[in-house]
Amino acid sequence: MIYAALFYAIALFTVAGAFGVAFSENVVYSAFSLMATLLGAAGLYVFLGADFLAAVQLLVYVGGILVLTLFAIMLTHQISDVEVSNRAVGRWPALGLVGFVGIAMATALVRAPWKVSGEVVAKAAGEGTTYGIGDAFLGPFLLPFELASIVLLTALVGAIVLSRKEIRD
Amino acid sequence: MIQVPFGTAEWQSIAPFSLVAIGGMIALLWAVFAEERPGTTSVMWMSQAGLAAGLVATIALLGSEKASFGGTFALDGVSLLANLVFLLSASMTLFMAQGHLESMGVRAREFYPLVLFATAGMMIMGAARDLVILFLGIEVMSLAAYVLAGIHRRDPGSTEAALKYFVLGAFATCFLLYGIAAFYGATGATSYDGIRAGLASAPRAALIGGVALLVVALGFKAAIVPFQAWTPDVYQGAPTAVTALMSVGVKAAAFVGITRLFLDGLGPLHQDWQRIFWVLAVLTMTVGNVFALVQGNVKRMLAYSSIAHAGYLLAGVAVGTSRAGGAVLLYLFTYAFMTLGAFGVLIALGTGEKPNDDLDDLRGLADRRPLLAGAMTIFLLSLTGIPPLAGFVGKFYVVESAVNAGWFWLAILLVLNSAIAAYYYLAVIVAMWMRDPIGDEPAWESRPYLAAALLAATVGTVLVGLFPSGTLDFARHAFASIVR
Amino acid sequence: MNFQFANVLVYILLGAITAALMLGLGWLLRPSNPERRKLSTYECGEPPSGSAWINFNIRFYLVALIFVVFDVEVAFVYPVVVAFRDYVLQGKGLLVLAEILFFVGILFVGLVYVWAKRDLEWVKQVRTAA
Repeated sequence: MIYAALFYAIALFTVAGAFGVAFSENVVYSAFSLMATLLGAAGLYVFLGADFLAAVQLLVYVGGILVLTLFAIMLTHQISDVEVSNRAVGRWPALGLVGFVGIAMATALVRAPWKVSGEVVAKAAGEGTTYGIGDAFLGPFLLPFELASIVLLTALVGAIVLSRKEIRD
Repeated sequence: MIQVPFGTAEWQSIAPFSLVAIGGMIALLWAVFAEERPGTTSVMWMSQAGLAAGLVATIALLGSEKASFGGTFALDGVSLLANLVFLLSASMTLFMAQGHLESMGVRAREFYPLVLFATAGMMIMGAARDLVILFLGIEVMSLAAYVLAGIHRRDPGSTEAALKYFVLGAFATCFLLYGIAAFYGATGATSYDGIRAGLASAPRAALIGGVALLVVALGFKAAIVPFQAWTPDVYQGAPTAVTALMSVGVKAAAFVGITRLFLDGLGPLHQDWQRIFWVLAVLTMTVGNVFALVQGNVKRMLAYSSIAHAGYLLAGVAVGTSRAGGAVLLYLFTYAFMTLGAFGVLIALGTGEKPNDDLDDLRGLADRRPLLAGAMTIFLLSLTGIPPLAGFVGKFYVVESAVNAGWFWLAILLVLNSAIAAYYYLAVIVAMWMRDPIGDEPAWESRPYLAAALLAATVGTVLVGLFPSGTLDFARHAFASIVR
Repeated sequence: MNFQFANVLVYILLGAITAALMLGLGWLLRPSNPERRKLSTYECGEPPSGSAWINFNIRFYLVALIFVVFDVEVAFVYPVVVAFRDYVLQGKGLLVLAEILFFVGILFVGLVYVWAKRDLEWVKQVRTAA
């Protein structure tokens, strides 16, 4: 009972944050609403038994990427009153499209008899996932683990190249 | 604790892309620590050395066929032949960029290492037999490609290209991840072997959804209609050397990834995806060709033409036999030479101030620079599919495999589309040879590296056209063990 | 399930209650005497000027960006380290250590790169070509 109430409270918190991101007129407020969404998502991961993922969500997304987003907003000239050159299609068609995709995905999620489901969550919740993830990184996912560092290196170099002030001569 | 053996097969399978990636890192550090050295020639040669190391490893391994990392990473004919295409296009890109970037005022030496990282990503994609590895390969390649598209930072077109490519590419990545999640949820595996094994008992709705999501994500990378909207702007805005890499290397990597994923991992679902690819292939070639007809800018025209070629390639994937797989691989080989060459000619026409890539700028080129016009003519005739050039054999074997498998309408539509394409390719040839030039002759620079790359592309276009059988047999044989 | 996360929840609740209690008590006890100047930002007694939203220096962004990359690196290495002990007991410690070092080493190249490019320095020394 408390468990379900807690879940719905966190879910509401997450969705409310998402609405704030989408509908806020001021992009700085959008960024702060994003924090609510990211925190809520971390809470939802806990409910799925993904404790490590929840911690990483806080560490990387709330602690890192959100800060980066705020810096990016703050260092853009006159970001709070931009004139958007591309006209939006309008809210009603967008609502229809998003609604259709959302309903289709939700139906598939609920209806399909997934292979990976409840028992995995229960097992993970019992013993934690950190050890298992580390074990997988050293076992069957060794190559993806090492490749991730190449992805990070490329991202680092690329981001620096694009955002560094160019020295003019 | 599941132990995955790490032995000879593992070392051999990662050697080609690792050497390229390590070469990229050395070139990166060299680019920083040798900052005082004027010019970028030394960084270029360092990077070429990295590519050469990958090439040596690839050639040394040719013929070996091994599964590594528990079957999630392949070392076979397909990955090795694909490596040749990637390494070739990266190497030619580096040669063509030399001098071209400096004359435009691009100072970032990271260009060269980033090309190597992109190449390593392509090689990972070509060998991936696990959706997670495929995803990481795509990310390495794409992250580098986004930055390369925007490397000319003072040019608004280049910045626009990078931004569009990045935002839409990140969106496509979401589709890829949702698709991977769908397959993992439905079959309990991300490796192709595991997915194949789990398909029979998996829920059908999840599989259809997963296939649709993966088609969107990979279709974006390969610029397939209706996921092609970014292509013309990005290809036109990016520096031409980067455009060449994107339209050859990135596209080839996407197609090798698509071919391996659908023919191998999702082979049992072929009745589902074959229909999707049939429709998308016809749509892609038609839209690409029709829009290419009305372009006044040759670079943009080539962007649309690359969409049309993606349609021809996708037709081969739709046929889905091992014969067709071999034809697709051969097509990628031929496509690499002629497309790199065509973009190389456009680079040669550009000066520091102006790109000179409108159709009007090419008028009368035969009088001013007959050799360059001659090379361009060969590339365009090859793109049209005139025998005995490379483009003809590529198309011929795709059509042959379609007819062989009973896909007559697909073959007919492909041939009709090639006829439309002839119009706009020949228009450029007519402008070069039969029209009078407009305006004064631009102050062209002499670029020996570019000239060498163009010579290599010309020789390749002619030679592959004359002697395709060796490559074709190898490619068909490579696919024989994949299509089960 | 997930009872170890109950302390996180208790912690959050305690924090929320404390804040609500403080504000609520203040709201109950203070006299109501609204004035416009009370709503302005407190800047050491000086009247505030300009907007708080100014353009940040791009250095903030670069440093944050480099931070995020290494943040993710830590997130990747952490679970491996948790599983490391069992591998050591099995006698595979050196192999696994090599694998971790390989991962860290690739990113070390990135660190050397940003360091040598002086993107870590706050005031960047621009070398002028003599």
